Amino acid sequence: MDSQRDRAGRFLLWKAGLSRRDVMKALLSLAFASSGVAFAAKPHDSAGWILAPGDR
Amino acid sequence: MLRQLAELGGDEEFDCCVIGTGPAGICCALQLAVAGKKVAVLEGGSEEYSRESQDAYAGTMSGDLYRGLTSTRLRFFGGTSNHWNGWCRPLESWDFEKKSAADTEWPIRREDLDPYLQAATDILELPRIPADRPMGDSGLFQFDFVWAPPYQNLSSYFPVRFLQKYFNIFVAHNYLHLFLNTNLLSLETDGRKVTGARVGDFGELRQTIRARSYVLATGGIENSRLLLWSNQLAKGELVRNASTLGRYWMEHPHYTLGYGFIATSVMDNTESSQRRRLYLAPSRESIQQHRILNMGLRVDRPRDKQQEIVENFALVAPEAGQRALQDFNEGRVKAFLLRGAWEQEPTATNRVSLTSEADSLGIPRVNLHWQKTELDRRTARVSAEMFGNYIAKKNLGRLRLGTWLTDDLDFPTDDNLGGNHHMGGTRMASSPEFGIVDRNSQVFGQQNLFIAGSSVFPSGGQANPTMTIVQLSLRLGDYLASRI
Repeated sequence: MDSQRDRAGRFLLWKAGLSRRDVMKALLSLAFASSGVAFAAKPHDSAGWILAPGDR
Repeated sequence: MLRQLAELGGDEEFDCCVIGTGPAGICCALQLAVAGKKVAVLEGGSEEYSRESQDAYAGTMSGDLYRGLTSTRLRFFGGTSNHWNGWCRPLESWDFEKKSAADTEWPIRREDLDPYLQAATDILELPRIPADRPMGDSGLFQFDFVWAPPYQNLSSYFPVRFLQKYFNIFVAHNYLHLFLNTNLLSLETDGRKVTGARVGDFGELRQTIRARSYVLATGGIENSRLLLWSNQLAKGELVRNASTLGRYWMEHPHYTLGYGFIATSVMDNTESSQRRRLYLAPSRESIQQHRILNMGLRVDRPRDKQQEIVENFALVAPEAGQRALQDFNEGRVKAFLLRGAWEQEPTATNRVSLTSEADSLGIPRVNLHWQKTELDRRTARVSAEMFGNYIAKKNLGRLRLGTWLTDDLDFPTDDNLGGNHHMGGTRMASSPEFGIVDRNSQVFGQQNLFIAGSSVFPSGGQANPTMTIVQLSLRLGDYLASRI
């Protein structure tokens, strides 16, 4: 049975018009960014968002 | 005047026989009539839609997913202008030049069509086209399409319908001899010139129309189809070098490239545009530098999920996202969809060909093969990146590219796909090795056969084609009037 947290997560995904894949990419990007791994060479490392310096 | 095919005398000859009554045929015929020429104007359908006439457009398709062959055009007086949306803009001067490694060059220049811009603007009842504005150092410039203005007291706009505007004129004019329900079956040739147009109604009636010159103006697929068929019947004597006939067919691919949010002040800058969208295109220098083709970006307002777009950004950039959400809630930024409609790479493999199945008139139906290339994909991605990089650098907004672009996935199938713009197939070229008609729209090797319409486009630029079709047809009418 789904936990309340799972259901809330799915609701947020639906509300944002996102797929699970989108979120995984975003979370991975965040993880890489916070760990300092060089992942910013490509402009589209943020689930396709073209970011400005200082966005993250 | 309205003529009946059954009453056509065997010895009657016209100065010109114009086959087709879409914008191309109508503009060319009008130009000839004004010059005092006796013109036979043939329309396969009548003055209204009929299933019988429309069925001649049915065929098959291969390659990428595309819209239907019968839903994208209309076969009665006025042609596809009976359901067009009225978007108008001439081609850029660089659209006539070679771009990237693609075969895009025309044998004429924009200066050859400029003299017909005002007349085309009058025919299409257009306002003045606002001047282009560069978008900072983005490599893009802001431009406008124009449409016929809305009728008084009506919020909807009505583009010029050639049926409503010109049918009664054609019926009343002494030099225009309009034959309805008169289908071209084939063009006959003695090898050097066309000697007659074999025509018929949907019954048993068959006739040959004689004229000093002939203009094929039946649309961006039918021009290829009827030439292919006539050439087959003439055993290759009509188009001697047919290596490009039916080939280099093009559309303007229409796809959503991404979404994002942008400063309200930028979108408010679109007030001069009648559709309140931001239209952007790469400059000539950008096209050369990035080795892409022309692109029309449309920064459009989404109907729903506007806040979700900004929230999506907050998922990947939490702090900047919170600021963006605050800007969104306080009206300083707006969500947008980035759509693209671009110049397709002309390739020989995209083609109109004849199938073994015939329509009710005995003419083989077509197969349309249409595929986009890596250059098409690159044009879409690079143009979108130019916009996304600029608004990020200037902190005017952010763009999220579609996953089909970032992850090199297939083109989406649930999008507009194309603009119903049928171009190429009988392309204009400097020699018969590379095309079907010369710079005057004359079929190579035939002294009196000409083609009008977007089938002569060697490349399509990013602008919708009707304005250029009208300009080319007026130019052809002028040229013919001076010759016959």
